[in-house]
Amino acid sequence: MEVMTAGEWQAAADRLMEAASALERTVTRMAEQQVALAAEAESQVSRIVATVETQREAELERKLAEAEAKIAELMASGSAQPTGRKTLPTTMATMLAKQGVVMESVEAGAIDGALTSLSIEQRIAVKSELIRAGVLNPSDRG
Amino acid sequence: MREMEARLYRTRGLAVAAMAVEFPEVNGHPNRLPFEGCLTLVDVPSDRAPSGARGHRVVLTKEAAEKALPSLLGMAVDYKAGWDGHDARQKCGIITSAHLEGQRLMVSGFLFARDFPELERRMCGVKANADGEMGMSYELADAHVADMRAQVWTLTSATFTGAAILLREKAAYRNTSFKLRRRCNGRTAA
Repeated sequence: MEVMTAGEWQAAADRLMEAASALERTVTRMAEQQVALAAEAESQVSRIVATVETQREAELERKLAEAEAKIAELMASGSAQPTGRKTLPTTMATMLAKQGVVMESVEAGAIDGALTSLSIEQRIAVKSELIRAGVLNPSDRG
Repeated sequence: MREMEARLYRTRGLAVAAMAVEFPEVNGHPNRLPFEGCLTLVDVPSDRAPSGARGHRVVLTKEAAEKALPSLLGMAVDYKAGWDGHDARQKCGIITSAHLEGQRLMVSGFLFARDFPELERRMCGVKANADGEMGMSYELADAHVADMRAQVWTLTSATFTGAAILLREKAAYRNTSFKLRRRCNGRTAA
């Protein structure tokens, strides 16, 4: 293994410092460009028609803006929640509870252990429901 | 189409920027009804906020209008039932020339009179002629606003994409105009 001298370490450190500075400058430049582009877009209006908006049109425009805001809000709240999770039927949840399986803490290994007292058909049905509900990964079907 | 020319000349000390597409003469063409009108005013704030300007009145600068003149040529004029706005799919004519006369942006061209007989009927109506109640309205794309926070937006560049014939009272600029260039009773050009 090659041992680096103090001078070589220093040179390497200098090069790294230079690279870091260059990156910093690039990031600053990109941020400035983004600000300029945003300002440019804001001062550009895609369509202006030299007619006076009727009350009906103004009302429709207001409603559209409200609807768009609502959609954006719903999409934002939707993306914040975990995806792919569905509700298990009550009967299935009850059956699992009787076998000692708590839904919020279910693990692939625990399922097999908990279902040993069930028939094969019942185990298949329970696992299918768990997969459908997103609780169990299809690869853990067993 | 024979020629397209841009020229700047002076008439009685008044600078006039003009641009036109020349069409060959066809005497008695049944579907060409010549018109002229004042499309808008330049360097003058609109009387009311136009549609799309988010409640701001606008000023189209003379420089921006001059630069945008070529974009007007060949654009369509349209009208909307009720004469109160634009219907870009109801194209009833074409703009063939445009020029600035002081603060007025004047346009002229042809209406498709055979295809839209209701236009001539409307323009030749007693009220339309007597009161000069008809006006025009532009449609702009990609308008650049100098300061979006200003109370009155200054448009420093834009592209004309069309125009509409409508009631003057429905236009954002009250002092526009529209008229036919021939008498309503027949063939004589005005």
